[in-house]
Amino acid sequence: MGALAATGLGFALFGPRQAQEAPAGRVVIDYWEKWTGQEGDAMQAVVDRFNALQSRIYVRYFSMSAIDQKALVSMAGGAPPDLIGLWNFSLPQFVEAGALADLAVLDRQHADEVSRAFADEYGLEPDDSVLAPEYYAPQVWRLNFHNGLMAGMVNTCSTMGLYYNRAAFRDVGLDPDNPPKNIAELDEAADRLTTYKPGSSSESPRLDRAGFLHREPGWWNWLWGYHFGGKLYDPETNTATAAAPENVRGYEWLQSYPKKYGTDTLVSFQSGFGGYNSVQQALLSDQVAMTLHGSFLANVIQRFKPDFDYAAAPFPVAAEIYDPTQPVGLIESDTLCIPSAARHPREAYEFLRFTQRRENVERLARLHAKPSPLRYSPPSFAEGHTNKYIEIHNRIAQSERAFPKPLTRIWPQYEQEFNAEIAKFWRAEIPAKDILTEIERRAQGMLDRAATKRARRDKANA
Amino acid sequence: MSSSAAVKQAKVPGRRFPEWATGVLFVSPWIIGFLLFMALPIGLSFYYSLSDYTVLEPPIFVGTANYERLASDPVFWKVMRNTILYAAISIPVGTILALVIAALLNTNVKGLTFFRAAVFLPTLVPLVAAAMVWMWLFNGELGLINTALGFIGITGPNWLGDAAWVMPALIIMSLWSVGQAVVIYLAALQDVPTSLYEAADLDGMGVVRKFLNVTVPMISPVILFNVIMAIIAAWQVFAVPYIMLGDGVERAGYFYTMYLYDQAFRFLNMGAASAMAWVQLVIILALTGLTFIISKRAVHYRA
Repeated sequence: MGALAATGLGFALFGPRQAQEAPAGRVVIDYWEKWTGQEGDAMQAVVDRFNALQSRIYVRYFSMSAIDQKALVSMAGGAPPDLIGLWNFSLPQFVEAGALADLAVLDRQHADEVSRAFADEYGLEPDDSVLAPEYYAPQVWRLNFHNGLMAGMVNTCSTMGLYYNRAAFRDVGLDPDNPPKNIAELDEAADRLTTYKPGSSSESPRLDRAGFLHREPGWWNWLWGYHFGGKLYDPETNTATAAAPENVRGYEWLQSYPKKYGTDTLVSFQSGFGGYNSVQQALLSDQVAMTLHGSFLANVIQRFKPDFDYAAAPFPVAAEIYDPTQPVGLIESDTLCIPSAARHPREAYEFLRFTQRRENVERLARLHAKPSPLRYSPPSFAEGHTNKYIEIHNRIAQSERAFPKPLTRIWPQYEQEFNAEIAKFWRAEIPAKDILTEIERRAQGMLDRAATKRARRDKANA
Repeated sequence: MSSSAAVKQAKVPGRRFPEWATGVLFVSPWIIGFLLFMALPIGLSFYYSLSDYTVLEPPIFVGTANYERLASDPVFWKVMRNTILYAAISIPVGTILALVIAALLNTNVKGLTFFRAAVFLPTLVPLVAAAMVWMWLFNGELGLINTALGFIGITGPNWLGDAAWVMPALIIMSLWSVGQAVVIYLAALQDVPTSLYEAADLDGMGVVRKFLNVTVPMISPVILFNVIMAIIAAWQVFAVPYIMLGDGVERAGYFYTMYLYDQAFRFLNMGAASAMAWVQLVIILALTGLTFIISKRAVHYRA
C-alpha cells in the first residue's frame, strides 16, 4: 500500500502535465490542427495573438497527424475538440453524419456581438471580414458547403499550377518567360527538355531528365480529364462521369507519355526520385523540368534550394478550352470546423471569426506560401510573399474554372480507384477508355449504395 | 475431508474474505479489462458487422447485407487473393529458412554469438524504418538489389513499380524478420537430447537424414507453434505494405487488413470493416484448426 501511495505521489508530482496550462477564469477551447513545423508555427502565432488580445477565452492549439481519423474517433466518442482543421474534401462524410455545426446558424446568433468585441474589447480596427460570399473568392466560398450547410470556413487554400525550371528552359532554347499554355505546347516543351544519360541506347534508354511526368509528385492521379474540360462527378444527378469523352482524352494524353518514352524507362527513372520535402526532389534536382504542383512548393524551394531558378504558370489545358482570363486548376482548402458536440461552440465561433480577419488570413497564407482565399487582395499581399508567383495562384483561386475534388461522401473510395489503376494507365496496354469505364462503373456502384444507405438512415431518423 | 482440503478451508486469523474471493479480487483488474476492452468490443463488432454503421451515426441493423456486399466486392477478393498468395509462399519459405539458419547457428562455429546477434538484430528494427530501407533496396534505378543483379548481367525489375514484382518483393522482405523464429527454433534445437544424435550416428545417418529424421520430429511442436503464429501474422500484414505501396500499383500489394482499415477509417464503413474482421477471424481459426489436424501425425510430443 505504501509503495502504491508513493507511486501515486510521484506521478502527481513528476508525471505528465497538460501541454499548455490555461490561465484561470478563462473558457478553454481546444483546437486540433494538422500542421506541424513552419506551418504549425504560423497558426500558433494566430492563436497566441488571439489569447493575448482578450481575457475571456483561451485557445489550446494541438498539432497532429491523421487529423481526419482522430476527428472521427473523437466525434464518435462524443468528446470532440471545440475546433478542428479538416480538408474541404473531408466535409461530406462529416456533414452527412451530422457531426459538424452549421456555421451559418452560429453566425446569425453571434456575429454582431463578436464584431463589437473585436472593436471594444480586442481594440481591433474594423475590417471587411464577414462570413459571406462577398468576402471570399467564389470557389473558395463554395468549398465550405455541403448539402446547403456551412460546414466550416477556410483557413488556407491551395491551388495547383505548372512549376518549371527556368534554367532548363534556357538550356534547350525555350523562352522561360513564355511557359506552355496548352497541352500541345506542353508536349513540345517536354520533348525538348527530356534528355538521356550518356551511353543510353534506344534498346535500353536511360533518362537523365524528364520534361514532364504525370506521376510526379503523383498526388493527383484523378485530375487529368479536368484539363480537357472534363469532370468526374455530377452532383445534380449523383452520377460518376469518369468515362466522359473529355476525361478519356485526358488519360489518353497521360498514356501518350509511356508510349513515347517507354513505361519501364519512366517507372525506373521515377523510382530514383527523392522525397518531396528534400533537395533530392525531382524538380529541385533537375530530374524533371516541369511539374504540376501547389504554391506551397515555394516553401520547400526556399528551405532547400533558395537560389533555384523557377517559375510558375497556370497548368496548360486543351487548346480549345484555353482562356487566359479563367485559368483551370485544382483548388483545395484547409477548413476550420466546429463539431456539433463541441463544448463551447460560441467561443469557438469567436475564435473562428478572428481567424477570418483579413490580417490573419493573409498572414497565414503568406507564411504557408499559399494564395489568398479572399475575393480581393491588396498589392501588399504579394509583396514579400514566399512564393514570388503567388499572383498566378491568386488568379486560379479567383477563376470560375478552378475545380475542387468532387464533393461526395464516397470520394475517398473513388480516388482510390484512380490511385490503384494509375499503374495500369501508365502501362498503356489497355485503352484509357476501358479503364475509365470500369472505374466509372465501380464509382457509380459506390454512389448508388451510399444513396441507398442515406435513404435508409433518413427513414430511420424520421 | 483430506488434510490438505482442511488446510485450504481453514480460516486464516485476520482474513475477512474467503480465499476464493481474495483470488478473484487479485485477478479482477484483468477480468474487468478483458470484459471491457476485449469481450465487449468483440461482441459489439459482431453486431456492427450486421449493421450499417458509419461510426459517426448510430448503427442500423441490416442483417447479412455487409457480408453479401463483401462477396460481390472485387476489391475484397483481390485483397483475399493477395493475402492468401503472400501467406502461401512466405510461411513455408520463412519456416524452412528459419529452420536452416537455426540449425547452422546450433553448430560450433567460430563467431557464433556474432552470427546469432546478426540474425536477430533485424527484428529489433522498427517496421517503418525497415520499410524505408527496403524501399531503397528495391529501388529500380538506384537500389542495391538491382545493382547486385547488374554485376551478374541481370537487369533487375522495377520491384515496387511493377505489379508483377510487388508480391515477390514483399515476400523477400518478409524474410528480413525471420530472426524471431530462429531464436525459438534455436532454443528448441538445444533441447534435443544428444543421445538421439549418437544413436543416429551409430545407425550411419548423414547430416540431412539426421536433420529430417531426428531434429525435425523432435522440434515439431515448436515448428507447429511458429507456423500458427506465422499464419496469424500473414493474415494481419499491414504496416510494411501500407508504407511502401498503399493502395497503388494496381492494388498488387494491397492486403486484407489494409482494406479492412480503409473501410473503417477512410471510407467510414465500420459495418463492412467489422464483417471483414469476422471473416478474417473465421479464416484464421479454420487455418489453425486445419494445421492442427494435418499436424496430428507429423508433430511428436515427448512423453
